[in-house]
Amino acid sequence: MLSTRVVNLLVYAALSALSALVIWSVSGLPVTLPGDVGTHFFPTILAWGVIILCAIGAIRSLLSGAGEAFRIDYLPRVLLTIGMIAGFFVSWSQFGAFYLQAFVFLFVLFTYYRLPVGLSAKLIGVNAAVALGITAFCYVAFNFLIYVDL
Amino acid sequence: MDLLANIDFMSVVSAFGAIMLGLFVGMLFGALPGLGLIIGVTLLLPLSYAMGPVESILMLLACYQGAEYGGSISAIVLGIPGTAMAAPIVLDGREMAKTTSPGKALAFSLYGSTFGGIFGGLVLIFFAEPVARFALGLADPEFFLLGIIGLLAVATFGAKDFVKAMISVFLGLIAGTIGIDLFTGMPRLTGGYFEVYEGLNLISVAVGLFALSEVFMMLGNRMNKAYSFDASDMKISLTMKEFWASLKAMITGSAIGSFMGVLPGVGSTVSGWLAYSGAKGLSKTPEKFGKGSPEGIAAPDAANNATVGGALLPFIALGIPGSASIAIIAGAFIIHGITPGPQMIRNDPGLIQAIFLGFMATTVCMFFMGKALTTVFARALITPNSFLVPAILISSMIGIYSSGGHFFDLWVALGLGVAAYIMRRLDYSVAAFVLAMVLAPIIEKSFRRALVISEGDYMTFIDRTYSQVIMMAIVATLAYAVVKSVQGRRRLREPTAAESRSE
Repeated sequence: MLSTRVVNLLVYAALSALSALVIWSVSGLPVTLPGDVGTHFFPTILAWGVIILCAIGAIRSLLSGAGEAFRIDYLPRVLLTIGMIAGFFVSWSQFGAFYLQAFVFLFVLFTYYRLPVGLSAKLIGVNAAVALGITAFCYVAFNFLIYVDL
Repeated sequence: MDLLANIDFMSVVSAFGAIMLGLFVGMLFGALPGLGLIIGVTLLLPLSYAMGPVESILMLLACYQGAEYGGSISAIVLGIPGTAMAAPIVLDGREMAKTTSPGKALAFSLYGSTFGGIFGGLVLIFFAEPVARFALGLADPEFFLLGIIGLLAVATFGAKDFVKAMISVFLGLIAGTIGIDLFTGMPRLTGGYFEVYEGLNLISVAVGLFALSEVFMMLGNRMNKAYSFDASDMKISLTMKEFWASLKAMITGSAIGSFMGVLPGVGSTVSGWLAYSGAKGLSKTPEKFGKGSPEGIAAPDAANNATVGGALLPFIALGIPGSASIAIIAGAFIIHGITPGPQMIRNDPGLIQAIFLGFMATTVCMFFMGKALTTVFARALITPNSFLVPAILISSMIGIYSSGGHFFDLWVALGLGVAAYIMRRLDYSVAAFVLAMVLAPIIEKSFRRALVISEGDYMTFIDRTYSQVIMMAIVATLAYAVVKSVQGRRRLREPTAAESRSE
C-alpha cells in the first residue's frame, strides 16, 4: 500500500505536468492590445505558480516522515459506483429514455448498497418502491413544473 | 430606500414559493450529517434557469439560511453536527436535549437563528449602499487586489494546509481562464471542445467538486447505519422569560457573526465558536456553559445566521464573493446576466430592494417552517446513506444536464468529482478552488484593464492610497499565513523529536 508521502509526491508530479501542459498550450497566443500582457499571460503565470508551489510541497513531503498509509476504505464500492455512473452516462447519451434508465440505476444501487442487510423479497420490494417514487417525483417536477427535457 | 415600492402580487407569490423551496432543501441538507449547505445550494442552482433572477437568488439565500439552522437539528437531536458550523451547538444543545427536552433546545436554536438572520439582514440593508458608494471610488487595480486578498484569506484562514490551499487557488484561477478571452476573442485551454468556449459550466464544477466527491466520501463509511431518536417532547416554543434571558447572547452572537461574515474566508465555522466564547465571557452564569445553557445554544446559532447577511455585504456591494457558498450563489447572478457590485446597486435599485426584502422574508419564513417542520427534518435523519447516495447522484445528474444540455458537462463533473475525492483526502481545498474559479474573470479583467489604461505601468497597482492599504493587508495576511504554516510544521515535528529522544 502507498504511503501518504508517495501519494502526495505523485499528485505534485501530476499537477506540475498539467501546469506544463497549460504553459505549452497557451504559449503561441499573441499580444494584441498595447499595454496588455496578452491572452497567454495569466494562465502562464498561474501555471508557474502551481509548479513552484508543488516544488515547495514536494520538498516538504521529502523532509517529513512517510506518514500513514493512504487507505481508501471500501475501494471496490467506490470504483463500482464510479463505473455505474460512467455506464449510466454512456447508456443515457446512446439510448435516451432517461427516466426508465434512472429507475434501473437507482434500483441497482439501492440493492447493491443494501446487500449487507440481507437480500430478501421485502428488501427488493422496498428498493423498487423507493426507486419508483424518486423517478416519478423527478418526472413530475422536471416535466410539469420546471420544463426540462431529459 | 423605499423597500415596499413596486411590489406586485404574482412576484410575491413566486418569490414566496422559491423561498419555501430553498428553506426546505436547506434545512433538510443542513440536518443530514455530511451533506450541508454547499451541496444544498449546488443542487438547487440549476433550477435558476427556470426562474426569474429574484426568485432564484432568494431560493439560494433561503437555502443558505435554512442550512445554517438545519445543522443544529442533528447537533441537538443526535449530538452530531449536520454542518461544521453547528459544532459549538452540540455542547449545550445535546445536553439540554437530554436533561430538559429536545424541543426546548431546538427552540433556543431556532429563535437564535431567526434573531441572527434578521440582525445580519439589517446589517446588509444598512451598510450595502454606503459600502457600494465607497466602492464607486475604487478602480481596476483595487478590484484586482481585493480579489487577491479574498483568495489569500480563504487559503490562510479556511484551509488546513496553506501550500495545498494555494495550489487549489491557482488551479481554480486556471480553470477560470478556460474559454474565450474577452480582450482578444481567442479561445484558451479549450482543447477544441466548443462546450467550454464560454468557460467551464459552474454547475458541473460545483456538483463534481462538492456533491460527487462527498458521495464518494460517504461510500467509504457504513452505508446502512440508521440513527434513532426519541420524537417525544418536540414542542418548539419559548416563553417570553426564556427569550429575554437569552437575548443578550443572541445580540452578542449576531454582532460577532455579522462582522465575521464580512471577512473573506472566515465564515460561520469560526464565528460560531467565537460567539460561544463571547457569550460565555459576557454571561452572568458562565458555569452553566457546557451543561445545557440556553445562551450556549442561542449565541452560536445567532452567529451562524448573522454570518449570511454579513457574507452577502462584500458580494452585493463590491461584487467579490468571500466564500465558496457565496461563489455558488453568484452563479445565479451569472446565469441571469447580473453583475453584482456598486454599479448594480446604483443602476438596479428594484432588484436590490427585492433581494433585501426577500432576505428578511426568508428569515421570518425560516422561523415558521422551523416551528412546523423541525420534527420532520429530525425524522429525515434516520434515512441511511444507502438511500441518500443514489438519490443525490440522480439529482446531481439532472441538475448538471438541465443547466446546459451537454453530456460533456456530466463527464467534467464526474472527472472533477473523482479528482476532488482524492484531493480532499490529501487536504486540498475544493472551496478555495471554486471561489478562485468564480473570481478569476474579475481578477484577470481588472489586472489587464489596469495595465492597458496605465500603458503597461505596474506602479498603477500601488500608486493610490486605497491600493496601498489593500496591499498592506495582503502582505500582513501572507506574513500571518507563513508564520502559521511554520508554527504548524514545528508543532508536528515536536512529538516526532520527543518520540525519537525517548527511544
